[in-house]
Amino acid sequence: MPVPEDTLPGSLPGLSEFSAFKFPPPPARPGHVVLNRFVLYETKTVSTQYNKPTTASPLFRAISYPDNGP
Amino acid sequence: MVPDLAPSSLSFLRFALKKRFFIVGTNAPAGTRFRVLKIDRTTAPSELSITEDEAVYSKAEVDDLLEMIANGNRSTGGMREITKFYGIVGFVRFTEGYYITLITKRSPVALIGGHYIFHIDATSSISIHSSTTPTSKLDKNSDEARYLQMFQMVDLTKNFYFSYSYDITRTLQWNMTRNPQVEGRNRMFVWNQYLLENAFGAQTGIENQWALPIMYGFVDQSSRYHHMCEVMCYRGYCKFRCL
Repeated sequence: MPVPEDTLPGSLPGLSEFSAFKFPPPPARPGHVVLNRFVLYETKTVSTQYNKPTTASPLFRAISYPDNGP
Repeated sequence: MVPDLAPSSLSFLRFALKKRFFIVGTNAPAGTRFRVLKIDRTTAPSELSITEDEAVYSKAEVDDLLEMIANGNRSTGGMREITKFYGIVGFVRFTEGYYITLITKRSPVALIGGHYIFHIDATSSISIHSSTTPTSKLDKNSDEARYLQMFQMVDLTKNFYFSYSYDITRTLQWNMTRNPQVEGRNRMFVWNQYLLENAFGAQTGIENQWALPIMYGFVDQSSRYHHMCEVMCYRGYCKFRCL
């Protein structure tokens, strides 16, 4: 009775005649970069506060300031 | 000359103008190539304005670009980093503005021929048109809050997977014998197809370089046998496939 040869741990017995799989490479379109880490930035907020008179006067005042709050 | 106005005669209207998001993506861990995506936050809530910078930058070039953007916005507060993340799940809109959903934590679960498969461990949704914390200014009883809560009931941290370089929407046999660059991904198993198409186009959205198709199912890899089994759902229609 034939005795199977010892196999390395993790290998399948009887499959050694098959060549190793060749897996497809990562996408390689022209200029295509595999992006796998990102940073999100925000240009900060500008808050504009208008002083609106409650009377019928059409006058307004405005102040703009960076909103650096949380 | 504008006359003084008595405080008692004033009411206040406050407008907050949030300008842009910039997303910088890189090919970590090498970090040699960078790309930039710009999202305009000043559009109408029903509109999503995304501009892809076609250029591929080096580290020095992207640093210069970010410094230039910060300097250009210095008078209005400059620029600040919101978060680091690992992929864009997609964009969604309910009754008001759009939200962007980001993968903020991941863990590798399998390695197929040098291609890592990751599990999504945490996500974050950020409002594009209003506050950066989506629920902070929402009326809890509003339709918007209700829809957002329903959307967030989908737990993206359980059984959602992705790969940057391997097409997990196709079988191993397909990937070995066909040209994935030509035939593209299998839309049936791209869970976030519609979320990506909102931003990157109906036909080519999931093939966009910024788009990260995610798969709902199961991925496992044992140490002795490389075995993968996927259970995928697509619009309520489930298919079972094995690799």
